[in-house]
Amino acid sequence: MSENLPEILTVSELNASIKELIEENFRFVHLMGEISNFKIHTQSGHYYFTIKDEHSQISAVMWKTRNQQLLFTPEDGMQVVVKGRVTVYPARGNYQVEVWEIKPQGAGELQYRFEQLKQKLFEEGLFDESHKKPLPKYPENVLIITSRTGAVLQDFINVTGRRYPLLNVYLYPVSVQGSAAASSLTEAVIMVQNLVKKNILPKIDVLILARGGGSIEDLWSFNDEKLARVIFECKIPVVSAVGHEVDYTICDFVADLRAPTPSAAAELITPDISKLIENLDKFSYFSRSFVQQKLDSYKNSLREIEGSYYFNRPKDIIYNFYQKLDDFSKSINQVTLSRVSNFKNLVKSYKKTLHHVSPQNNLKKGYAIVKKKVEMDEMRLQFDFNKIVTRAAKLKKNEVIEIEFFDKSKNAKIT
Amino acid sequence: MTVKKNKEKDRSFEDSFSRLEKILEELESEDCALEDTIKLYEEGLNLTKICYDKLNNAELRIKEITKSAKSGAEIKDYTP
Repeated sequence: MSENLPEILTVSELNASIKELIEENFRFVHLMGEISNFKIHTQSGHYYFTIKDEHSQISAVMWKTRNQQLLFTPEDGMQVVVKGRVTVYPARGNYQVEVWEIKPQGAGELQYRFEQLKQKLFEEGLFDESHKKPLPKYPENVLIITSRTGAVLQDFINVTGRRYPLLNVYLYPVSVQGSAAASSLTEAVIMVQNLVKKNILPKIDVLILARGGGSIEDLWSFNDEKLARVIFECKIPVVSAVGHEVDYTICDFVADLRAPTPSAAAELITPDISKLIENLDKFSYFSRSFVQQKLDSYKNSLREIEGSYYFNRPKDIIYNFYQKLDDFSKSINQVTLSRVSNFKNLVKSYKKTLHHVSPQNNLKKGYAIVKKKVEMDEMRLQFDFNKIVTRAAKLKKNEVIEIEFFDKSKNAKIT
Repeated sequence: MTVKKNKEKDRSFEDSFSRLEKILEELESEDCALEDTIKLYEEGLNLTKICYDKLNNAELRIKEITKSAKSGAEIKDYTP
């Protein structure tokens, strides 16, 4: 059996012919599978990963120039359809898919990007509640960044005008659609703060970013990373009011408050004037009643103090004096009266005694008094005065005397 | 443009209203002296009047910011 000598190949020759064979036949492939073992080369920025299904796997590479076009960053577990070609790397003798495009399956590409940005900013803490600034209860100046035309602005003006006409509304008109929208929104937020700093605008209490409803592509400018960071850094409280209630944007998460719709934003940032008037009514009523109550309670305490024992003691003392005085005057009267009556009695008894010893009384018993006329020279001052004769020797012969008896007097002549 | 705060009327609505709420709170408190009560009451009545006036006469003001070469921006009354 004669045999030709087998052709001996070098490794390089083999790999080169395999490369040629494979690359010739798989110049354009659409491959479906799950991404795993995803790595970004730190220096070069190329993506290296594996695409696999249940039974098999294949290496894949996406050069930096290509992966910069992607709106999202691939990650492990992602179901994708990739477009590319199969290449052989002769240096290692392996083959791989060189990926030009990656399309996520299921959710759209934008959705992926949205979720990824959301996750990233969340992890950085941009959505933390602790960073949320409170909104003032009674805003004076609010600024709305939105399209100059369209229903959003009109709705906002209508609602704020009805609810809180004290408000000053500032409009910063921007385009909210198209590729330039994100950058014009971002610029607006920065610009407003500069204008406030330069005193061209007054102090703005609330900043509102608003846009009407639309598709995810329409609202895409509100999912811009730069815009999100500018909102996060903004010193003025920001309200995000984008799309309908079901639409969520990155702005919604990073803003200090998310309003489901622009009209709802107008309601959320303003107090209701009818409630305020009601409160004022309440204030007038309550303050009056509080003051009245307070006055009443003071009056009551005053009355209590007035009626207290200690405050009434001086009066008591005075009353005591009154009483004593009354007592004194009473006893003085009594004493005086009894004295007087005593004297009266005494006088009475003296009178009686005197009566007993009186000459008249003796005359009654039969005694008589002899009197004779007093001589003129004897009693110069009295005339015709009969003087009692106490001694017989005083009487001369033929002298007329008067004898006084109890009943009457008789004249007699001495013999 | 500076904002004068010394006059009650120039006070912002927020200030006035918050002050009213504070006054009511103080009036409610037990340890408010009689003289203070009367003073607070008078201040409150005055503020209520100002607030009523402001609410009843308010009309929404809308201004628009337009970019200009000179100062960067101009503020004009908004006309739809």
